[in-house]
Amino acid sequence: MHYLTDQVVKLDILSVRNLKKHFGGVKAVDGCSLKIDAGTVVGLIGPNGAGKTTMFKLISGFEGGSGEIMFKGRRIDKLPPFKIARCGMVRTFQIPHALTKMTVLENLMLAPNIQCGEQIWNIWLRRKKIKEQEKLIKDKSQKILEFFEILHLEDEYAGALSGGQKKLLEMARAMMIDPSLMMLDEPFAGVNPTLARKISGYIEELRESGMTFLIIEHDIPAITKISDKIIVMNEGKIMAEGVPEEIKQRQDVLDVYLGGEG
Amino acid sequence: MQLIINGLVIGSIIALTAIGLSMIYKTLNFVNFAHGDFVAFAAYIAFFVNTSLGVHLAPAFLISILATILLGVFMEKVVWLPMRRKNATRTTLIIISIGLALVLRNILIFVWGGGTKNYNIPVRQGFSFFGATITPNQILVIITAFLLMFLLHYLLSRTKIGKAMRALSDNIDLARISGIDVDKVVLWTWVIGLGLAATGGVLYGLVTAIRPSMGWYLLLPMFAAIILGGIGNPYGTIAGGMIIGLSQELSTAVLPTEYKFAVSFVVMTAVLLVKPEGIFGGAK
Amino acid sequence: MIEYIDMILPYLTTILLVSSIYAIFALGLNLEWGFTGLINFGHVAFLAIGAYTTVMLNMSGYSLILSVIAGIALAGFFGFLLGIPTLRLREDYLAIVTIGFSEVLRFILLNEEWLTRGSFGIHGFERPFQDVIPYQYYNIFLLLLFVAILGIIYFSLEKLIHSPYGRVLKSIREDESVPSALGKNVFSYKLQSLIIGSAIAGLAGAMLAFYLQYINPFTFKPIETFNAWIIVILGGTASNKGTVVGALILWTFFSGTRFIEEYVPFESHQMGAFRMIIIGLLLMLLMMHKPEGIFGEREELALSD
Ligand SMILES: Nc1ncnc2c1ncn2[C@@H]1O[C@H](COP(=O)(O)OP(=O)(O)OP(=O)(O)O)[C@@H](O)[C@H]1O
Ligand SMILES: [Mg+2]
Repeated sequence: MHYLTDQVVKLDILSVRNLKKHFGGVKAVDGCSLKIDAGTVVGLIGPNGAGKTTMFKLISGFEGGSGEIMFKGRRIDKLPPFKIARCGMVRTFQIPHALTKMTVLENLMLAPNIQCGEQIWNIWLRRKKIKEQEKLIKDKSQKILEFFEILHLEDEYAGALSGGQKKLLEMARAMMIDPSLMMLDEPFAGVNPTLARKISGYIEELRESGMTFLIIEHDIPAITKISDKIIVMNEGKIMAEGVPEEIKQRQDVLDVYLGGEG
Repeated sequence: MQLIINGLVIGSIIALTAIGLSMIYKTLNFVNFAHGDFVAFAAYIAFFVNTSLGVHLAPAFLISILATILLGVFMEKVVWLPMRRKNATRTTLIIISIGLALVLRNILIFVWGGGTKNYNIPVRQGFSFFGATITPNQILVIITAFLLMFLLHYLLSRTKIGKAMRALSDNIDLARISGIDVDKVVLWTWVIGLGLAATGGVLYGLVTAIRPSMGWYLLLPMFAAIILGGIGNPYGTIAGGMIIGLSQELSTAVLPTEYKFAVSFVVMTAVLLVKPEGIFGGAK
Repeated sequence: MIEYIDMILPYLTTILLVSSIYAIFALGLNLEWGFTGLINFGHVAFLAIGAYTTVMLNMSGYSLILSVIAGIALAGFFGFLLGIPTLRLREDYLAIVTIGFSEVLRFILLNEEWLTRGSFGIHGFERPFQDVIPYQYYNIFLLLLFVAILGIIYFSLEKLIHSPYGRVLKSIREDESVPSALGKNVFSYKLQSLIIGSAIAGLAGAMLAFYLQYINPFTFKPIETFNAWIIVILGGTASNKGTVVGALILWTFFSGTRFIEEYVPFESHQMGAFRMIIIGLLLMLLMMHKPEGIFGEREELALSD
């Protein structure tokens, strides 16, 4: 019941209805519905192969499935990924997609949208504006790189980074955009604990400023700590949903997932 | 009617060779631009064994098919396998394959010249058939092509190696994890794919003149057949091959014969535009 | 000494002329392949479109500059047409469709005699400033003109690829799902890259016609596409400087082989085939062992994975 009242006061930024995706016989996502309120952090957990990443792909338009996806009051299923991204949603990839033959700095500077110099004629017509923008973008990139503790690598090719560093780069690139919804696929996997805590802090800071997060994570203590709500997936279905304390108590969740970790 | 017969004959050859191309495409995940030149290579080896060494045509065919397969296996060992080990990108493989295509075709020109050649066989009387003629060679082509396609179907669906090949073409990483000897299966894919190409090549030499560019000009119809039939769908490929063969021949009724080749280009582009997954479905 | 220079100068001019044309032609391909990752195996078609459009329009009375502009525009337009069905799909499809297009175009040029005079080819068209420049200096003039054009193209492309625009192109080459996820319209950028690359090839076509004074369908064989590929890869993919150097190396090498021709026991068709075998082998070996090219900028393309 309290759910209804919730909805009235808080605006849901993303709502998904009856989402489905099959790979041959595998029902990767099997009729999922969920709502995410603006300005919250939502954790998406579940065992390996539960369908979490597939859910991300469906929401961000990288896979086509069936069902209805509303983002900021607009239907986005059927839209190509770049249009969805422009609505103010950015996602990271579980396996980092570093642009290997570009430098770390270039990887970040690519990200911001509506760059004047991305229009071909502007390269000749609006040189000054581009120069100014480039400077701003570069400063911002360096700040973010510094936060993620990889500033010293800014001129290295991204292909030369270690696995964990690529993971950081992936996240840093997403942070370059100031989206309304940030979807992170296992942000803490392979990241050292101190830095992971620092990133958690940063996420909470951004949430305070109004950003919404949907985060897939296997590190249960870390994700429950920063989440306002946890959604548990198993075999393509959403099996539980609620505040972290509640989820931690649920026996069925413990059985499929938390049980293994003690 | 004559055009339909010709179309069916060419269609069988396109289908036969295209299945090999499609298998390699699905398994190794890149378009082998040298595939057509393996077809021509086979025809030339058969020609050489038949006319220069004076061997009867049937054993010449077998020798040629074996030689083509051997060349393919050699290429797998010195080019494709090392490149896979290096994690080469798909674009790298495509460019290497077009380099190989140039080398193969020009070796044929270098050795045998650019002119046309024929096997040393007596010209046999064709049968009349609703006002058209069909030669015994043409009948042989159609029958062999269909026999081989049935054989392939059996191979893919019933034998262990066939099942492994299909698993590989669905998902190479998954196949590797589940304990399939990937390199061995890839080798078999080359053997079968190029075996079909070589058979198509020697048969093609039976019904048209042999020339160095014969395989090259078959490449586009093959692609068209595959795209039409849906990539990775062997029955679609067969149907696609027949459609392309027929439309190429039928086009000569209204267009100059030089534009046969353009027909497959137009069909292919049109399919890509409206239904890139092929009209008979198949994996994307 | 003076005599020596007199002998070598025309020869040198020829090499430089042809190299500058091919450098421009290959720079177009480098934008497509080196910076955007598009595989265009029919680049020669755009060379042909540029050349034929220019000379045919000029012969039917249009001014030279207008004809050249039309040639460039039409080449770009055909890049657009070929890009539409292919650039949303995997990179293989563009490769297939472009190579098919270049073959079909050659058939059309050969067969539609009413339009192109078929295999007779076309000559007798105007060359830039031919009335003003004395004949014996014409090639020198042409060389200066071509080098100037090459300079303009080169510096424009350098500017382009070092801009945010170029950054997007490179990201597409690396992994197009990243720019997609960041909100860039990948398809549109690929299309633009193909259009610009094709238009540049069209310009090279017009230049080639001015240099040769005569064109026929055999001027535009598929091998020209692969010459451009060799130039791009030799000089180091994604390096405009390397592409210019690559053009110079390839044509110096080709004119070198003309001297050798007299000493090898090959017939003429064999010499042509031999050259193609070398090109094919070079393409294979470079891609297998030195994908970064001989002058590649650092290891920009050498990192695998
Ligand atoms: N492209 C694909 N083709 C076939 N099956 C797929 C594909 N992608 C995912 N699957 C299957 O869908 C199911 C869900 O996969 P998904 O990647 O969404 O899981 P996940 O919850 O993200 O798991 P993990 O925690 O291990 O990342 C799995 O069974 C997987 O094998
Ligand atoms: Mg996952």
